[in-house]
Amino acid sequence: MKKKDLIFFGVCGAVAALFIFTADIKTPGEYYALHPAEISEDGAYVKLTIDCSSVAKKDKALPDDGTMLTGSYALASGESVYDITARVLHYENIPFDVSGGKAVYIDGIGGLYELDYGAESGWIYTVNGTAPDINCGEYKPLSGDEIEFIYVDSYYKGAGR
Amino acid sequence: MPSRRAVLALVVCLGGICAGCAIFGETAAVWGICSAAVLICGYFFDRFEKRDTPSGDIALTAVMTALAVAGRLIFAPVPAFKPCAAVIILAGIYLGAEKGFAIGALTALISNFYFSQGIWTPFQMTVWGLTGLAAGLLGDKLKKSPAALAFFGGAAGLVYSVSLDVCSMLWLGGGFSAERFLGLTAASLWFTVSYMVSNVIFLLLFVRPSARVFGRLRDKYGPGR
Amino acid sequence: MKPLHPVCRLTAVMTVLICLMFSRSITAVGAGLLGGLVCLGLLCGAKSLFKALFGSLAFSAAVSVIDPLFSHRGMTVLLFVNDRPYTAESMLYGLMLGLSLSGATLWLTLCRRLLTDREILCIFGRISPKLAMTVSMTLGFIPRLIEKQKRIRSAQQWAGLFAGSSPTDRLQSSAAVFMACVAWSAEAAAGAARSMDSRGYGTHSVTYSDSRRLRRADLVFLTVQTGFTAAAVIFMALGGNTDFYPTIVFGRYEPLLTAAVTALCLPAIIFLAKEDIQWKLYTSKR
Repeated sequence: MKKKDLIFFGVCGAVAALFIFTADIKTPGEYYALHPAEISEDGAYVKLTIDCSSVAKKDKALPDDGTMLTGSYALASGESVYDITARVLHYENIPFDVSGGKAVYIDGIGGLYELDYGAESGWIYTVNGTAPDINCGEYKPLSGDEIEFIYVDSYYKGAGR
Repeated sequence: MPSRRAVLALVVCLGGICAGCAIFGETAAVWGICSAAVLICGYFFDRFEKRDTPSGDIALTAVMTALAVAGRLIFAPVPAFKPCAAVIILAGIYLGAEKGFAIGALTALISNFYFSQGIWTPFQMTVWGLTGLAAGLLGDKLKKSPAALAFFGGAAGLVYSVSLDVCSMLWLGGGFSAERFLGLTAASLWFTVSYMVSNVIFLLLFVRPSARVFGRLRDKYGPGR
Repeated sequence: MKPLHPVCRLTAVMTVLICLMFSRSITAVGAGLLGGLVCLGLLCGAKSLFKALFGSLAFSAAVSVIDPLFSHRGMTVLLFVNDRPYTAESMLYGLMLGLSLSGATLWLTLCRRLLTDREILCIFGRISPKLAMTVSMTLGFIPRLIEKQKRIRSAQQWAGLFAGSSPTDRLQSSAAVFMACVAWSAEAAAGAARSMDSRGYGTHSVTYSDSRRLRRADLVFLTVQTGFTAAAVIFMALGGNTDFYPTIVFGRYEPLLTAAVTALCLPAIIFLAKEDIQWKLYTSKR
């Protein structure tokens, strides 16, 4: 190891250290928490819609057309439906509640809870039009999927199943 | 009236370039710059070959190239301080544009024999050749004013560095990518500045002695040299 | 590889270089690099092989880490640096670039080892003899010039030129020595021109003489190399390149492209291996 080599590696190390300390490095989770709607070129994304149209007319507090939220949001790898929904709802300041430990179930979004409109009412979620069999904490969507959270007031006649 | 052979050669070249761009879809930019460099060098070398050059001109071309290469070899330990381009510019001014191109291109080729051939050899050949060519074309103006000469030297250094950055960007990215270009320029900033500064310094140091040397050559061995 | 004509050796290197430069397929580029490393090992010994291997891997790793900072395409985001995505696909693209560049540099150093200056001039002498003559004159001048520069420098030193020790003084003194070399060279050039005239330059066209002819083995070699290069180019055009974005997808013809590139490296490896084995077999055991 000659002196020249030492100087070269020293400079490289200094540049690398400078870079690591001055550049702003975030994990995808942190970044998307701050900018959920920013989808990078070639980036993975999902379309998320929260639809309460079945009961929208019965409550003045809910939006008229029943759509609480709709839009395309970036998807980090390995995220489940729950992860991305929680992040988007946090960002949009829409309160929501979950129940269940490992088998996550979102029982209330934006003040509208399950069982508010009868024993069969509640939130279900569909991916690309069909309701998956597993809970939203375990289902991992693919890029381009359309996720809808629909409030149904009559579960057995509701969408999917 | 261009000869039939020249027109045929032109058609073949254009056809080859288009075919290459179509075949090499993603790396079409690399094909484009490589073939441009090869064609430019080829065109001027062809002119050098076909011309009727007296023996003195050939010897002088060889010697000036040897000087530029030796300059690069002698200053090899110092990282970016080289009198190469200064020698090429002065040779171009005093020997004419075509000799200037030949001297520039051959310097790049031969000095890479001594260091090691890099992938950027064709581009170095083209840029230094064009520097010699431009110096020859602007010869009279540059002889009159040292300030213009210094400016030309600085510009030559800048153009050399920027051209190599553009070629690297096209090679690595396969297309125009502003971020890569800025990154490459920033990384080679030190080299760019030192090329420009060394060119200016060596040109100013060499301008008066070389006027003397070349003037004496002309007086001793006849006009047109 | 001495028995082969210089054109064959040059073709062997240039064809692999073309494949390395123009293909964007990780496996093909890796195969080219590997072929170059094997040739280097056969030609220069295991130590150079390991040095080159280590250097290539280090360089490729460096490019692989640095390139994603400038290119933001790709689906699998690993990190966000300054609010720009740093993706795994960009890292693989950077790896491919690094492998391709180090492979090209490796094959060019091989070219330097396989061909001497005179042989390169031989090849170009047939195409443009006047240029080859100029280049050979230059190559002859350079050692004389360096020697002369050393002599002038030591003479001037003893005459008191390099007295000042500041950098500007040293630069000016070096420049003065260099200008003395220029003056000497110009006179030497005039002398060379006179000797060229006396040998009849200008009375007939310049020809470059070399006694090597293309033999059958050379022609076979050239045909094989050109054939494999054409195959490789065709596979590249048909879709042998790796698609890096949005996710890594290996091209349909990628295995065939890799096979073509490996086949391109093989003749050189076979020749060098044969010579190596012959050398080891024929050396005396005592």
